[in-house]
Amino acid sequence: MSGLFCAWLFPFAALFAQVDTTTCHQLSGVEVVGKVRPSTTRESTPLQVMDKAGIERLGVQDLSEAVKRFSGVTVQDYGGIGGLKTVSVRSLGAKHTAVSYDGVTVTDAQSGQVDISRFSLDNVDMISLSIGQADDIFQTARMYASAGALSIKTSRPVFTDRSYHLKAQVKAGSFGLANPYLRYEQKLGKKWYTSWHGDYLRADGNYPFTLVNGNLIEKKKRYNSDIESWRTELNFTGDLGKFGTLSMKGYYFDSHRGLPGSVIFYNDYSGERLWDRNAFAQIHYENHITEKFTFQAQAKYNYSWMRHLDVDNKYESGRQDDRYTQKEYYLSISGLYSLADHLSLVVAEDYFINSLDNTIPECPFPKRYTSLTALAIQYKDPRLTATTSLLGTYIIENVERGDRPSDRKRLSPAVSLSWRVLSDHNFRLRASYKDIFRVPTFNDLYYLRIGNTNLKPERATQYNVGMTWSGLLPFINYLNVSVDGYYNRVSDKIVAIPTMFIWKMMNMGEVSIGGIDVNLSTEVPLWKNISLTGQISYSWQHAIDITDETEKNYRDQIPYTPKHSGNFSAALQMPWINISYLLTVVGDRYASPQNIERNLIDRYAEQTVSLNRTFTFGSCSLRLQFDIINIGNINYDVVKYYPMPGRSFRGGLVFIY
Amino acid sequence: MKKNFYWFACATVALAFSSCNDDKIEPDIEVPTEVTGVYILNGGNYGENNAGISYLDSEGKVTEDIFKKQNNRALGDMGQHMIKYGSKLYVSMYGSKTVEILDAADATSLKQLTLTDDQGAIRPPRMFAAYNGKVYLTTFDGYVAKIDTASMAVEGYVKVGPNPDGITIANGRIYTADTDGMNWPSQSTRVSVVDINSFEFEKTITVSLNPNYIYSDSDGDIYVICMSDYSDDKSYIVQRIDAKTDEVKTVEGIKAYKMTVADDIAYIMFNDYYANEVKYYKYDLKNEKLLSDNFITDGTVVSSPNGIGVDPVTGDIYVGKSNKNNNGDVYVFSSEGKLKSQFETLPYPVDFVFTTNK
Repeated sequence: MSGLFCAWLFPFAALFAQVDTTTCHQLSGVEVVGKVRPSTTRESTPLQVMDKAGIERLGVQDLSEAVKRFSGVTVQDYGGIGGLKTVSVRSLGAKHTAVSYDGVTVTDAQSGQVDISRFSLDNVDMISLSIGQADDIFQTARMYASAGALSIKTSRPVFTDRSYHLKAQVKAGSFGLANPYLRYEQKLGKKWYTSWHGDYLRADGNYPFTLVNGNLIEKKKRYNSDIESWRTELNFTGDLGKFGTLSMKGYYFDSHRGLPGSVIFYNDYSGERLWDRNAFAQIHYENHITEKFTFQAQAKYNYSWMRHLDVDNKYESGRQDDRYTQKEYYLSISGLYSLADHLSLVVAEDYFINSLDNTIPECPFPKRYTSLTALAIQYKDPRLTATTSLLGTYIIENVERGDRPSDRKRLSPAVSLSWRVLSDHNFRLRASYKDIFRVPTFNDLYYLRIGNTNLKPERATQYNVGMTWSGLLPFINYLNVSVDGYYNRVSDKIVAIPTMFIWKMMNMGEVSIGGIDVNLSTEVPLWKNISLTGQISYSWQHAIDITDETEKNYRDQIPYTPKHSGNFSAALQMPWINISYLLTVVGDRYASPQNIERNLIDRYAEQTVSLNRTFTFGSCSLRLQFDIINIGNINYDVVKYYPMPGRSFRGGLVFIY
Repeated sequence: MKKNFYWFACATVALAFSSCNDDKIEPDIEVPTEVTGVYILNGGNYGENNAGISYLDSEGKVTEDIFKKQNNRALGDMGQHMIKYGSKLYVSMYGSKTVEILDAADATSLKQLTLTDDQGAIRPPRMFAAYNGKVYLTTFDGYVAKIDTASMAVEGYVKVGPNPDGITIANGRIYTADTDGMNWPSQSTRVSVVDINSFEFEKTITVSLNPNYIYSDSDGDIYVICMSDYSDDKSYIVQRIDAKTDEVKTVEGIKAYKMTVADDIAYIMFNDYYANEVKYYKYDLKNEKLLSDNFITDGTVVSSPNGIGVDPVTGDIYVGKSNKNNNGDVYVFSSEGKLKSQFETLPYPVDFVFTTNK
């Protein structure tokens, strides 16, 4: 039952996977109490999932809060609602993490990393984080091309009694946060439906913090930290019968924010502003052509525009005002073929073009043409899952002026295995290997003077061994346990090196990373309809710089990587109110490569409590939520001199019809 | 970095205008007899508030951050330049946009100065030169500020080119190297000249592309390091501006990242990153003669140096090195170029100031 139930996780079941995803998840939150929860324990590489039910149960409100629940993850958070938030998996760096939105990878060829603060959780059905090569092989080739992948799947409407749904929501909170949201879903005939949503967000972000500078202790406020954004999305999905299914998405995001920068002693001035516009259209087509063969194709056009303004008297005109435009054309086709009962094969081909232009004189206007070909074979029976894949990359880059990097050709293999040791116990062992790389970003290659077109790709090699167990115990609905040990190696790491007068990007780093991730989740029925769900994760990371024996940071822990970190969450569900408690604990870290007292950033523990209740009136429901974030009012930094907000409050009201 | 150029500036000035200010400038400053301590300005890294001043006492004991120890607060972000003039140290903090004026005897802060423009914005301070009881400071918004050493207040500003960095005083003039570094694609070939008595802009002198640091010798000849585009043949060349004719000529045989001048000898460091070659030139400015292309004679290799200073009494040469992130190291060489000692500092040691018992 459970195997079938979470079939979406597994590729041999991909024949019905894509379509059934939604219903599967609806079920997971509503009807499966008492059953084994959709399990991530069958995966041969670490996979962590948070579905809508989990999101609502814990009351998490933005993507970074949800991702922080996962183990093996470091979220770099520059503080505040508008502050950049990036995800690094197992110390490999944010540029090795792919982020996908409804199956299509979101990219930024200029910076190479994705700011996850730009996604809203309001329309999200599930987020998952896979480390290494995920077992779901029926994916785009791009999803093979990263060391870790954060996947965001948005809600798909399910119509039962009515042909339309309306959801209206408003959130408000400390530091001027206001965030109204509206969603409308409409059935169009028997086979088509559409959904539209839009939201507006604004916040002043002028939160107080305490700045400690020797004996000087000052109460200050964060300035130039305001944000205003609009976001809208329109979806059409249709069932074309024997011609498959088609879904189309249009998305637009527009924001304007202050960039407060790091807190500088004696200098409160901050004059940087950022405008962002991002529009994309994507289309997904899938067809089960025969019992044995499924085909899918995706296409996307992405346009992003950014304006960066710095008002400062060091510029002769008093300001520097730059604009950057990036475009992406993307096409992906993949086929899944069942070779035999337990054996399936996937071939995926992605082709995409990325371009950058900006208003900075002497911009080289780079254009990158990438072809990715992935081939994967998977054997899967109830006890054994074995997957192997090979990714071929071919990149050509053209520039209008200056040097261009040479063409890149590479083969990247991955292997994984999961074995259920005893047929009557849900205990599995797993092992995996993946060799992958990231190409230098446009910034790495072309940034004025700093860029270096001779850069090689940065390599990441991942090994993982682990065990998982899931099952039922007396007085417990389910218990899932996973323990993984891993070793990663980053070589030819791309870093900025000071060369006499200017910094230069170089392949100069080598990092050795060993670690352990432990996850445990459970649900305990306390009384009739009162239950407690709990989740604990713990990570140990030993990530050391082994670049140069003569350097002072040789074999020192790399910056912003705690040795110990973990989190705990508990949700008490009662008929009259649901209460959740979230705890994040991060150990000592260093802000700079050298592990000395002066560079130390103190450990911290941050706690959030959320209360919610849903009232139902006929076919309407009203959910009220109230959160207290950072209850302890702890003054902490995730990134040194980017203080995080202290205690803050947030309230929300969701009306669904 | 040209910590010591003030020595001769001071010395010549002190001779010419004895008791030139009420800052108790020592009359016989040109013959210090003993160095009692060395202050080292560590620039730190951008945005990390980790600049500091290390202190080496006469026994060889190093205080990691004497500024913090004495003042119970941090120096701030991005230490740019430090000189000693009279009894005071002047330290410019580019990130923090402050000028710390310290008592040279014990590094206690006498004043934290901020320089404000007409719109109320703070001017980013860069480099100092001293003359006749005044300290002159380039500010990156395109000015030279005149700071009175007694009142520790700004007496006036004069506009020069965009983003002036290096500054030197000779021939009754202030010379600034105008980098124009913040206004790409605009690039500078300009040295500004200010008449020191009237404190008015006088003229510009055209030099090679991207002048950044500027020095002078006792004849009043001016030396400018021009960065060009940091990688071509003209990058890091040194040009001489003739004291009398203002004629500009390239000095052959040397390239420089930075230098320090002591007794008309320039100690020059140059790190050719692409050729993986570090040069330590010793150049006689007065006689226009290259004395050595490696003043380190014992084979010690100090790669990627970022600061240099010369002890005015013993002639010991101090070379600071750091990759900006990690703590720095200072190598002390005898005047013959033999490694004498080595000690650790905060990240990015750039400037050395030698205090004396005179």
